[in-house]
Amino acid sequence: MTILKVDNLSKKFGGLNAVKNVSFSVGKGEILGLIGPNGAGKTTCFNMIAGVFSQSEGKIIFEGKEINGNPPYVLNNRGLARTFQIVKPLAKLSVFDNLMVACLSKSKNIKDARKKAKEVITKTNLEELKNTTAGSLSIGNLKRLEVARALATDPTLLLMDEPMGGLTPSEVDGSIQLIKDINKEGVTIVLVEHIMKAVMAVSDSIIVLQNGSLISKGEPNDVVNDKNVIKAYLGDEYVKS
Amino acid sequence: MKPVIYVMIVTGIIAVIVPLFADLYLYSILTTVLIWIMLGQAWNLLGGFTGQISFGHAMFLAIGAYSSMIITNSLNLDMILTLLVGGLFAGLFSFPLGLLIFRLKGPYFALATLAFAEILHIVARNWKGLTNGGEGMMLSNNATFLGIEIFSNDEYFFVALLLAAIVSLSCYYLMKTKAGYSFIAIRENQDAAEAMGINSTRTKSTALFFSAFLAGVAGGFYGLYNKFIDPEMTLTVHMSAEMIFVTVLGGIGTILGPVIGSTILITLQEYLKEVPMFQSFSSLYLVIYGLFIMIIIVYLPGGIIDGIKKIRQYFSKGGDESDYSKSG
Amino acid sequence: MVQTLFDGLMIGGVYAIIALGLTLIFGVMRVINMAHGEFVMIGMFVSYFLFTSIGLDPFISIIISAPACFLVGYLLYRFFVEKAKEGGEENTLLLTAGASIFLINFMALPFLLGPNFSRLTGDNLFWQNNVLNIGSVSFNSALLMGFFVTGILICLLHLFLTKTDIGLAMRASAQEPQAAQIVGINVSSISGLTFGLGAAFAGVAGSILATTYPIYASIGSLYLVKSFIIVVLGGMGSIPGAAIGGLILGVTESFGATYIPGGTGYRDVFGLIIFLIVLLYRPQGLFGKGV
Repeated sequence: MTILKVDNLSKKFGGLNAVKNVSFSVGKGEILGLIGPNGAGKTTCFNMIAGVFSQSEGKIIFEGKEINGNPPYVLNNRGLARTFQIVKPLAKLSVFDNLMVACLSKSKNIKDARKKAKEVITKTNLEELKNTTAGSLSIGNLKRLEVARALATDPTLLLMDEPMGGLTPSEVDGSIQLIKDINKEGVTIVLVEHIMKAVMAVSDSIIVLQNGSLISKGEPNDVVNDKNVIKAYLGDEYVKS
Repeated sequence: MKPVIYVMIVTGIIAVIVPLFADLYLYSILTTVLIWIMLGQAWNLLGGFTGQISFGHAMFLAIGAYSSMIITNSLNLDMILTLLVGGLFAGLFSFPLGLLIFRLKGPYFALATLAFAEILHIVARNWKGLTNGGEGMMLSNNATFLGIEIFSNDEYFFVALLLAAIVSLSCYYLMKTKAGYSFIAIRENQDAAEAMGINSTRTKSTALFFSAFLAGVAGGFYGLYNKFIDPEMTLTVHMSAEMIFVTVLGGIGTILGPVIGSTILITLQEYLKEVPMFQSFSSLYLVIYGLFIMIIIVYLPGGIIDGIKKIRQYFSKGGDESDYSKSG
Repeated sequence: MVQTLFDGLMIGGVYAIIALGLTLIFGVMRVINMAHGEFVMIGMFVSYFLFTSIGLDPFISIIISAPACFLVGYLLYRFFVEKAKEGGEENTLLLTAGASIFLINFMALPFLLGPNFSRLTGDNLFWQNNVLNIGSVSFNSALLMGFFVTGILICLLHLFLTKTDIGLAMRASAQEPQAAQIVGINVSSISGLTFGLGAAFAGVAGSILATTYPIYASIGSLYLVKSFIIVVLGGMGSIPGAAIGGLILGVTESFGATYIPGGTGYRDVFGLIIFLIVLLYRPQGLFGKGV
């Protein structure tokens, strides 16, 4: 069953064609990796799906209903959650209260929200930092909180915007594990990321953008050996003929 | 101890002890303190907890004041009703206002509220049919509270004490609800809040409504207490600023903040006015007041409550524990 | 009608220079200075004081009033505004509001301005009571001189910002404070300088206004509101915006006063409504870049 279908998606900013006729779909329970060189249009695609702005042309269909510039909170209520590349913690609140806010969006009352928050904290290994002020966390933990909060809103689709930027190798491993655990619970994930180790480790399929267009799509091993992809990332010299 | 019980005890103690030694003058100072506690709590809901700094809150005070005055004079309704209606008018007025200006960020929002309040100020001065212009309105019927006539300073004091307690408790409990959490989320990071399913415009409108409502209630009481209102004592920037200052001094974003700030600032003003030296230089206490505000904002932006917290942390082994969720 | 126009332009020139100071402060430091009107008042006071004590012509006293205001502005910035900035833009708004209360009441102390109105009167001032007639229009000589002073200062400011190192440093700090710091610009000092400069401009306006208008401690709030309207209308941070906006406001007020009957009470409402409309629907004003 397809959870997300993107059909001929385009976005123009004035004279700049940031995204040109991109089409792909994501099945329920899948993890889709979205990669490409800088300036390829990954973030623009991401933002259109996340409701930050609307598309110039094309359709985005989430669980059968269209998305076109709906505000983020509406999308979240429909089951779409996202993390931010530059983390946005509720700095003065504790980690627990950060999660409370997220849980309250779906819970009927404070008591239920508290219960759910405790569950999410355990699932994301934030137990020890429960009462710590979010503003004082290290970047690794901030990113973890970012994911936990998105998780706490009970999404069916989770969009992750470069969640591993700035993490140490062991933190990256932890992050990979977290993504796998979330996916095991049934959450579909679209992952924009540069760290190839992570993309290869979690993705069921990968799409590659370059200069706004989709240049490759398929299983990780196929994509990685695709001549066009190698040319885009590394340059002509690396293409083995 | 549950906050309701705590407040009831404190209020009870005050209600019993104060009459033992208070004279009319002290009653009036205390009533003024209580009025500013209410106004501070009102402003704090929007400014401190939701992070939308309004510089024109006097307009809600005024709507409440003029409504209550007009209703009491013409219909002679009980104070409870008039205050509620005054507050409601202020709250309703806030709806279109909010929808119009919530798109503005930070200081621009503040400036817009300032402009709105100034417009209302000029309208109040000129629309003689409604407000009697610069001449103001006098209270022509004695106000009644639950049927009891309220006339002298001590009678007003007890009503004010009750109202201030109710207002403060209401704000406290509001902040413990789902709405309260959304207010704080918007303040901390609106984008993150939206991504978590919070409708930011609706949340801000809700906060504004309650904030305006409470300011209207307090304003209504203010008018009835003074038995007179005019544009210069209800709609000036000074009134708006004072609401902000009592909150900021005490501790912005806390329930105790307006209580502490108002107590200190108002009693300080009254005390300074009495000192002979200050009487000959009537603006001297404002000089000190202004300087005081500046120093607090720069060196202790969390107000006195933050200062107390820092002292406590200094003496204990203060960790990184966030007691933000428990504060209030 | 031409008379009304020129009356408006003359006072508009003074408004322009006050707004210029405010827009400089806002454009470079994103500080909304609620105490800006008080710098005008201080300038008025300095000129008044020098005139009544040593008979110094107010225009010449600009040499003293401008640096005096500069100093007050600079100190205010370094000791208070700079630190308040860390708390956000609304924090500085609150701080400058407090500074406004402090300054107004400090200047209202008896040994300074006191609680009453003062007026600058005297003889031997070549522009005093001197009405210059050009064609069918009569000019208040003092304001006419003020207009030229404003014009010169605007040109000097433009040259300063574009041709000098300090000016360049100011523009760099405005656009990207962190990058400016990395290349060795002391952003803190530059910001202080800018604040002081903005205050100095207000002070110059004060000296000019002192020639013709009454002087009292709280007169600043009048000019503050006007300069906000101008700055928002012209575009925050835009120098031509402040200049043209000032002229527009001056002319609008002049025509409003002359031709709108009885609505004198509501006159200020129009400026405020325009302010709100611009803020809501074209926040960058006429000349500003995006907010």
